[in-house]
Amino acid sequence: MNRWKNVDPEIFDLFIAACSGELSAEQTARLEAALLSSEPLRRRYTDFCRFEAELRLHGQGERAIRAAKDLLQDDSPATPNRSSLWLSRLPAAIHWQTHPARFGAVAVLLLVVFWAVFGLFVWPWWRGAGEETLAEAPPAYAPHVARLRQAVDCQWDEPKAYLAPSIGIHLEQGRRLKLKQGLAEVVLDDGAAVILEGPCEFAIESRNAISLSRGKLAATVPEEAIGFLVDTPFGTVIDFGTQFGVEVDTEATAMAVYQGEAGMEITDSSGRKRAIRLTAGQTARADRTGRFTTGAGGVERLAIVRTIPHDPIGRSKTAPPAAVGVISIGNPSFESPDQADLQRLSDGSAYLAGWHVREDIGRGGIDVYLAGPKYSTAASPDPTDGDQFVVMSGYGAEGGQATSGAVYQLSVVSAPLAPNTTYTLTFDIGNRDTSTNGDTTTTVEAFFTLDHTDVAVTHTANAVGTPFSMTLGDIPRGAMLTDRTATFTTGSTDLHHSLNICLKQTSTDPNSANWAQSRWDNIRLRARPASVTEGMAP
Amino acid sequence: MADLTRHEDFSERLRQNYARVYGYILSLVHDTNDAYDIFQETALALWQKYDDFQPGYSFGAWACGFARRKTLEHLKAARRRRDRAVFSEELIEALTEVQAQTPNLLAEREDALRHCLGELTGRQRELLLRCYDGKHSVRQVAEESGRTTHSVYSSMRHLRIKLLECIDRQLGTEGES
Repeated sequence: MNRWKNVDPEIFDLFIAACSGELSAEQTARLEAALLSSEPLRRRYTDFCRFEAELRLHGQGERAIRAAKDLLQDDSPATPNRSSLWLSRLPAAIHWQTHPARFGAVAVLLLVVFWAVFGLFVWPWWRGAGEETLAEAPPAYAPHVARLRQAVDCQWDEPKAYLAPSIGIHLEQGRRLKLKQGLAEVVLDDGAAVILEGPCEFAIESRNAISLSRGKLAATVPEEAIGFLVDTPFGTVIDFGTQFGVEVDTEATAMAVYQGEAGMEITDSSGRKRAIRLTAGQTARADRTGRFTTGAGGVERLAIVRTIPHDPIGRSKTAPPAAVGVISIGNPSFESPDQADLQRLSDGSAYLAGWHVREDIGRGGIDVYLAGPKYSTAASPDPTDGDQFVVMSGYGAEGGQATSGAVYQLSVVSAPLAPNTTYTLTFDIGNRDTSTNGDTTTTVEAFFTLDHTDVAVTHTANAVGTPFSMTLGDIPRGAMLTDRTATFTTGSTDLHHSLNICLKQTSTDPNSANWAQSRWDNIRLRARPASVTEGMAP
Repeated sequence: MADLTRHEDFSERLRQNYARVYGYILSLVHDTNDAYDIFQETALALWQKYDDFQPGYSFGAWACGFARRKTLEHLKAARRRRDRAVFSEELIEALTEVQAQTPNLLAEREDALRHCLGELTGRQRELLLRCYDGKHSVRQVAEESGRTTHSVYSSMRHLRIKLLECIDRQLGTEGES
């Protein structure tokens, strides 16, 4: 369990603001309330403030120490920099060696000088810096801790279609989901596999915990995930290595153990905690009054779906199979998302609705972030487009090594791909602006991966291991590259649920001070089955 | 030159404990200027009372005791002036209690930070140290590198978390609440 990633992002921003001297009165009150309510949070806050002090000492200490040491060793006034103003006012300090009796007083003065120099450099900047940083602080990210492995006939309650989870997508900690109908299988990073049956409402709490506020789930928990939790309004179900089911309605939480052992913990009406442990074939029910009942047998009465019928292409039983034009990219023009739409990611600092970013690939990295009119006046190659675009900005790296960054979407398909089918993909991209400093050269490639291939992982090692990629070549500033095509053929047994796309930019320059910046927009992808290979129909 | 040795001892102890003492003051006053003033007053008071310090005791804990008194005086005045929002006495005491329980780990923390800075890429380290070098504002760093302030802020936030996690791993404190 990582204690920093688990800090509420808003609170973490308050920590930063506090250590920058930039807390408003209202923020002070919020931070105080949070700190008073949690001893672990107070410990983190104390550690964070110490860490900030350590970093400043690291950045400043040597210079300040050197100034003080110079003073001890040198009779002449110090070198002409800002610190000399302080030093020249302290004649007694300069002559300390000839007046040992005055040393004590001198030492105190030296210390004052030491910290005054430190302060002269550090604090004036820090005071000024917070004003803009606070105003533009992005919402913080949450790590991905789960993945949607299967979905059958799923209808999600998401206002924006491109935010609805599709098969293969990563789910971040804290993600709340409403499944209106269908069966979805979510696999948590520690290994627990959970089948959720719509209608239900649930949230991903951690890599080994889920909360269910309404509806049914069945969990299969391997040994490595023992301790998996299902939090419900009326009790917490705890796994001891098992398969169990849970149903939550407005009155109670019911559970049934199918294999192994599991338990439930409740807080009864008098505030006491009570726990029971069940073995296979037993059921338990905790209601809103805090009453606990257990029983043997009757596990089937809960009627919870425990497996998803194996369907190699995960095809919806009601939706038609993949057809012309089904592949689409969510938010292709990076248009301004609502705050609520912003993606919260563990692997970078950019927040693009519907998009993921990866900043550090190989040595160094490229900054990838959403930008808009307040950052640039770059013209859009597509006059119908809005104001926002994605920026990839990278430096050269020591030794002339390339630095790369990527922006990608997992599961861009809106319906499953068909097996044994050759698809033609048509790709567009617009270049709003490119600027370079020095000899930086930039190459851009589009990668496509299938299924659960983790684009971020694949590209971390600069491994191509993907079905195909295309180098986009030189796209003139202000131009759209349109109708670049590629084809690929799906296999017969692979789980071709989804297609992922990754746009990767690499900068090369031996001078680490040089940089290149590109502004991309209107990344569109269309797909069309070109032919069906022998033996199978889509 | 007994005075010189004594001064050196004191300077070295203060340097070693800087982050603990300054970080503690900063956590209570959440104002960098005030924290700086209080730290200076504390350093002066520590030196004046250095004869009372008993070798073998924790200098950091001793120094934090002084820092607490100086900070309380300061906050009392600030509350009277009502010129800015300050933490309540209840929270100050709660934070002091946490601070007192925090292990000192001076050398270990220094080593951990050095190690973790080494784990960053050259470019990340350059950005971080540039932002902490006291010469550059975030805005200046952004302008010089052709980035937005927002982007630099985001990167700095990301780097902080990366370093904090790494330090925890180094110190074996990642599982702590």
